[in-house]
Amino acid sequence: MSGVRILHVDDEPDIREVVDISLGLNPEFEVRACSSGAEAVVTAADWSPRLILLDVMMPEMDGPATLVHLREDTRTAAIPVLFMTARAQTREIEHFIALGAQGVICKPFDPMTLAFQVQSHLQALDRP
Amino acid sequence: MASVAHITREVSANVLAAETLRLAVDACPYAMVMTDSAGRIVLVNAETERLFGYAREELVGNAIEFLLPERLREGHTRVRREFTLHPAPRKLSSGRNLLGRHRDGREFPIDIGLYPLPSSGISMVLNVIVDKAEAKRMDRLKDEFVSTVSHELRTPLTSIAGSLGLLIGGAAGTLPEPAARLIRIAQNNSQRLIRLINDILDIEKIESGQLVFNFKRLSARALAEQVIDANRGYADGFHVQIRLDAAATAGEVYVDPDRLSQVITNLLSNAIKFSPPDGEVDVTVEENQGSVRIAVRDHGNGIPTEFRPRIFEKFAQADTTDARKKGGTGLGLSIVRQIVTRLGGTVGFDDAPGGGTVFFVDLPTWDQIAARESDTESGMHAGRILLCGSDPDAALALRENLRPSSFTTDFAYSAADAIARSQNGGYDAIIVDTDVPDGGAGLVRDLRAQPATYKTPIVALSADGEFARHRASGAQTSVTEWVRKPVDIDRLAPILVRLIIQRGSSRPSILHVDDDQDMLEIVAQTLDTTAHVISVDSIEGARYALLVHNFDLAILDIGLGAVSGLDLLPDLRRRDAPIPVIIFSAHAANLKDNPQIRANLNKASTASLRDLVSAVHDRLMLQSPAVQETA
Repeated sequence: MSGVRILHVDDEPDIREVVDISLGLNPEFEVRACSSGAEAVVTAADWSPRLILLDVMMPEMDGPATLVHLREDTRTAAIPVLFMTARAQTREIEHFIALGAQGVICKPFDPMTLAFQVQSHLQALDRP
Repeated sequence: MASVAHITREVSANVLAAETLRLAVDACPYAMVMTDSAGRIVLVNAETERLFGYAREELVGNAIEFLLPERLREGHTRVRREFTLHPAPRKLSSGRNLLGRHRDGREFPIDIGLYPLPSSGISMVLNVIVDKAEAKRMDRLKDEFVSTVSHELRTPLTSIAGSLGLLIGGAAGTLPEPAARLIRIAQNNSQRLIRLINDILDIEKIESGQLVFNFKRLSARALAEQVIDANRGYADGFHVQIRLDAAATAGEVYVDPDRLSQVITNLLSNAIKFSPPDGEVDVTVEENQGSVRIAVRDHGNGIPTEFRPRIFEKFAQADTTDARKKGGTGLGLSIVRQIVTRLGGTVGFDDAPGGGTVFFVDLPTWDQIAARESDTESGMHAGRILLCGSDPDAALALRENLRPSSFTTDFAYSAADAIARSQNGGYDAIIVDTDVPDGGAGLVRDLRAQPATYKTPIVALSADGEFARHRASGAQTSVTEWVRKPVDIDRLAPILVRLIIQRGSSRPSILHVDDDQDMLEIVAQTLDTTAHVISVDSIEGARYALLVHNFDLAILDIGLGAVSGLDLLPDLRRRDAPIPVIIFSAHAANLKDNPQIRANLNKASTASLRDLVSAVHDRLMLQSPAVQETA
């Protein structure tokens, strides 16, 4: 039985590793990581994750640009996206939501509760 | 001999001092222009020469207006005279929209600071001029630097704090106690670094004015409840209870919710940190005489007397070992005070009866703010403006947004109020929101009917969808400019500056009469760069417009429903100088014999708009009398 697929996108290898372990605290999660927006667009289309965790500040294609690409592709248009960003203000969060993101997780995140936060977002999305 | 040597020494010392001063002035990266009481240039530095492209000999003796575009000179002379009568230093970055003119004719945005030099006996003024484009580039570099630094520092910290958090949380198995203790120390300090970076960035943003405040009307109590809930976990860590006073009032205030949350959070976290274990922190919200007080009270040891005067300073901490013990950054209260000031309030503290300290924030109530219809801000004014609209939120936002351009803005929340306020004059421009109760159009008519505002520029704000209809409606032709809502301040401010500084501007006015709304809109847009176009859709509207405006040209449609646009010709002639006419109509008319008609264009032809533009240009620019005709 395959788990709940979570795709994590961050250009920083150390953060990818920490997030991998943090999400691994929930045994139901199957996690894959991408190091760039371009890679994420391809992987998301192939692998069809249940949710994407997307870093905002990345070189070349940043988070918002990646989101736009994901929304343009019918295979990835409906995949929920959570942005990961440092200290987002209400206005910025509203902006991300307007772009089509489902929510924002603030950096630095609490590694012991990250999996729980992601789980809660998934449950909220499942509710009609 | 000795005295000669002495004098020689003194003279050389003076020469040296003068030379040093000259070098310093020349090395200054700002353009510096010294003017006398008549506004004539006495002295300029090297940067002035570079910025404006003139040699200093060409500048000295000229009026300072020489450095401005011609059309702005007259307005500036007025402003300068006013300044001479009431000289007071006017700092840079007051946000006025001024333009400088380079020798080659190029215009560029500048900012001028004025510093009267009273000690010189004769009244001289030092004008410091900054190229705004250059200043903006520098600002952008600084922004980029701050955001890069914050990203580069936070990224490794995210990994460090994350790894340590996982270790402590047992994600890598149970740690032996000494190792766990060391990891905890590392984790606490990584958290402290994160707070420090966040606080420093906040201070930097606040001080540079980059922190944008989004003011909203809200209940201080509801906000306090949210913040208390968010901080319960933190309080639990210190075994401290937070209680909101049951008698707390709703306390309607006008603030940025994010920023007020930050203020309450900082006060709460201080109170929690300095509470004894099992202590209590009490939060109250009270309203008194137009002011809402949010107070946070702890039962700690109180604030040492010697520390009190420094408490709101940056990196101030009563006991330097506090930082280590309590995990604070020493920036919290400094941030609190800066934010509260921006919110229009004050912050203070006192010994609490029965021990401990109470910090309080006083903010004006919403009612108090909404009642501030008269802008009490003083200083140099680009102009006093009356804003008539029904939404106090929007009015306040507009006042704040116009402040950087040195406008003071009074409010009127109804048409009757607007008439009452403006009947004695005193306004340089009036902004009418078409949503104002008892009718925006009626208000404009009434303003035009009273002597004090007969000629005052009126800017009308209209919602996007309504824009074309309002703009074309005959009853409102006496509006000087139309601006779409939501208001783009970068468009409105320059319009106001232009209307006020260049009243009686040389920009030509055109009356366009057509019953086709789309055509009115198209023509207005097409000619927008050339002239100020007043668009009306009826003969009545045109006659009204002719009463209140001076036109340089009229564009007439012939078929206006049941009547003919040609009926206007007598109205256009009945003046000292007859207004030239361009016929722009689908109806054919043989008008060659009428000397008033300068062109007769068929608007059904595909080239019609281009022909219209060239006919208008010919008429306005070249004064060509030729009659054009296209079939």
